[in-house]
Amino acid sequence: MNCRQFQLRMSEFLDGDLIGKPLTECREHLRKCAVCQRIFESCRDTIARFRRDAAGACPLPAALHDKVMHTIQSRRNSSRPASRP
Amino acid sequence: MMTEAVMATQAHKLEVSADPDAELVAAAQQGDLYAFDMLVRRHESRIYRLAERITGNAQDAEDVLQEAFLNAYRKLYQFHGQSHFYTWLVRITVNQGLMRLRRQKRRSMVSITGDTEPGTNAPLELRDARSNPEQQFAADEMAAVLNRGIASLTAPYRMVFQLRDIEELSNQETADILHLSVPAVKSRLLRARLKLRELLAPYFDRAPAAPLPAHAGEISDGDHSEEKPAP
Repeated sequence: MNCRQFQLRMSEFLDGDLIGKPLTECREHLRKCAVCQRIFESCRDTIARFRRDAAGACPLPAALHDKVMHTIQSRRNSSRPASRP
Repeated sequence: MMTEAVMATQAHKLEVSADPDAELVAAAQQGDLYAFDMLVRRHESRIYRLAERITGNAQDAEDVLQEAFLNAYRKLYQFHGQSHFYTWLVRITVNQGLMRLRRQKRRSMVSITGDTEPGTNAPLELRDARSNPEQQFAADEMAAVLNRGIASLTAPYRMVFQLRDIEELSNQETADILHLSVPAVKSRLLRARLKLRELLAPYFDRAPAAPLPAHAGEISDGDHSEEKPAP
């Protein structure tokens, strides 16, 4: 496996979607190639940063929550009920 | 012998049955508004951030948030638990956000490719009262870097990255929501990941090594496998 072939497979490798020969080849390439190793690791870190950022999303201001619920309550009678008809 | 497809289906069912929102959804479907209020509280921050990433500005994100939860409430009787409630909510939010972008495009003929001017998509400032000022500054700075990075992607790549890597939907769920094929999702995801990696690596590397070759953000044509890996 060369670098181009590895990078084409990198997403699936990151996601754990590879099995068998492609998985072995990706692991082997990473072991040998410093450049692809760095690309792979920083790609993985980038995704992890976005996930941490999303997981740490601060609570919305109470006023916005109240506005959402007020909208729902005020239209509750004029719209289709939530329960099954 | 069980095929991989059957195993995947069974695993999917198990995952869906473990939806942490199931009880609240069932109560809300019986007309319990308090249960729906709890669902809103549970998901509103992430839904707001998703709406903001789609629309590119705080005001539209607030509107999309409201419309998404209102629609979810109206359509709750159509939700039968084939996916997690949150995934269903993401689908509604994406549809609302994209509809809003299309309406704006029709009105102003502004591009929806995601090429925004700096400062036009300033996010709502959500501060965490639990952290101290230094921690908050670092978190704000990192959030700003991430926002700039993802905002620099064009819409097709931004949406796929948002749904796959941030909302953690599957390839199939992402494909369904965006009306794409699974191979198209995979292809866009790979490009988006490489592009973001290229844009953000300078901010993340604590001890930057030698710069990557110019082609590193794209699919490489070369082969550097003779180079020794970092220890």
